[in-house]
Amino acid sequence: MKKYLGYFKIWFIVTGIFLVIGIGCKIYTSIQKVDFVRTNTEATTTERVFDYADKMTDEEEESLRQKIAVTEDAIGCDIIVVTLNETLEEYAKSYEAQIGQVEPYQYTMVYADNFYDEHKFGYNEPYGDGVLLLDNWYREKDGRVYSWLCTTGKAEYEYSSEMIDSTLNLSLENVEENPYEAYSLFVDLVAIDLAQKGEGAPLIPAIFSFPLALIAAVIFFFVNRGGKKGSKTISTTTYVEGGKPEILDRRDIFINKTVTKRVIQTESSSKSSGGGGSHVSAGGRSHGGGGHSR
Amino acid sequence: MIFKCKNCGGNSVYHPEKKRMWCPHCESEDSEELIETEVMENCSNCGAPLEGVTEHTSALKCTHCGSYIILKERVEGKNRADLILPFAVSKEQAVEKLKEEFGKRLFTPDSFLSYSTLELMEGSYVPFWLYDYRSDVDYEGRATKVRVSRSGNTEITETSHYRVVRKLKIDFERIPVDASTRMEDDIMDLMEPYEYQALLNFEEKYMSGFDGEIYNFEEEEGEERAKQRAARDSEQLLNSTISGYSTNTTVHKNVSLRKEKASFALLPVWVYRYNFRGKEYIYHVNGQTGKIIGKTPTDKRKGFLYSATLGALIMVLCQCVNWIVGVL
Repeated sequence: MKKYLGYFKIWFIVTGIFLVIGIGCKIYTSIQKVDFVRTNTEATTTERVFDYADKMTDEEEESLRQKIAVTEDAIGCDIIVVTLNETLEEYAKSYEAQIGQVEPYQYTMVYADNFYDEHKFGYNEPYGDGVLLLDNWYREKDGRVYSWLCTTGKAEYEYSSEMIDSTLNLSLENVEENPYEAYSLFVDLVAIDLAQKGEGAPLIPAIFSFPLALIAAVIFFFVNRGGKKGSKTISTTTYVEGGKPEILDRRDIFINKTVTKRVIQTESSSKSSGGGGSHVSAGGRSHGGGGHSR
Repeated sequence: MIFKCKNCGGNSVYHPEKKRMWCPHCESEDSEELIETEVMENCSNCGAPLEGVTEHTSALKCTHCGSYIILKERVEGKNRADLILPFAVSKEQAVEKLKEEFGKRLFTPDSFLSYSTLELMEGSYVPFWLYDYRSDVDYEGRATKVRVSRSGNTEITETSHYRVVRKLKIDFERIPVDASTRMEDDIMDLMEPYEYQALLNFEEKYMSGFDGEIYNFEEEEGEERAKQRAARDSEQLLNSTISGYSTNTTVHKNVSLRKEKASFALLPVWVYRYNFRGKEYIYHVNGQTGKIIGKTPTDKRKGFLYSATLGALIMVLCQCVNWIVGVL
């Protein structure tokens, strides 16, 4: 027992320190945890799922609504999902006077921003905290299907371009096969991204920490179990008189030389990539966001 | 036969550290006197029947009085060893080496090397045949050296062809083959090398204080193992003389081996047998160089306790990190 305690002395001290700090942090986050209360009373609707493209069943829509309702109160942000199946080219271009020239990838942005503003969405206030996913199933002239994640208020502040790309790529990866699963995953990802301190996804989830501990314990066992002691410590000359053989004849006679030649083939290739940014809507409201196409 | 102290009548034994005869009772040095008896069945000191005598035993400890007895007819005539390598590592030194190697390991049972288990540790003179071989190696091969260079977009490969001729004479001296069926060949091979400079002509006094055996089989029976080693080493020595080539193809190779001489020698080994929860661990310590052969004894319960503790601590630390990072 003395040997055991001695061996783990440093470990126990370090773990003890971490435990004290960790419990302190846990208590702190519990105290700091905010119970969000909706303060926006001006929104024109309480609907959150606008499935104009009719990609979900009524049951799926209802399930998504319930999930959104729970998530909104947990993170203090409105979450709206809109599906369309129509060209937005004319619609978007009609706003060029206010927002400048629009490219195909921005058609969904114009619609999403306006949709958000028109309904005065926002958890805390009109045009306040919230996210809106617009997924337009219509294939525009350039052959692409465009989606847009509109972020407003604290969501605009929290979401970086990389986060938007990641959220859209992950959630819409299998949208063609199962739209409901895709939009449901979107809500889950928003819940993680905008979670309160101490309430979000853990840095080291149990799914990783348990295998990590198990692997470490197994490695520790086998490393400390020790192995066999004793290896061969003799060489080929150990029993040779004088420590080396007597070389009676050693000749390396050059016979001839052959030469072959080969032409080397060369190849060339090129790659390209692009990125995104932030803007003001036709209604003069600040929105963040980013697009996705398939 | 037995070596007795002229001063006190106790059993004089060979002391590996002092490198001389020594009486453990009165601590006199070189005070031994050889008492010869013809009887093999009884102890030369107390007369009690000797236990554990096999057809190959040449020296042993009397289980009744603790004296070391040397069996006269097993150290005479054809049974007499040509050479002996006296113990240079004492029992205490061997124990210390085992403690250093295995005693500090985390999962080693607490009873390992405890006083009661050390009673079973014995020094043994293991019989070996030492073979001298003459090896004549004759070799001819075809080899190439390849050089690749580049000129513009053209790769040029130049291949030079050589005829390689080698003729070696190798004298192998005292290739050891253990002549004890009690000892595992692999273990005895790992005990090597012994430093042959310390080999002495056989004298009975070096056996006092240790177990001993005569060879368990004739020299012809051990020859094949020595021959195989000589052949293998000859090939490797030949290969070491052929280097710097990209490829090498043998045209002709002949390794001719001729036995020159064989000697019967006794080489020192400490053997410690340790039983833990029904499993026997055997440790061998070279009685001259102190080289150790053995496997770490493992107390699996101890191993589980330590590993589980580590795993649990890592889990707790991960959770603490999650809590701390949650605030940042």
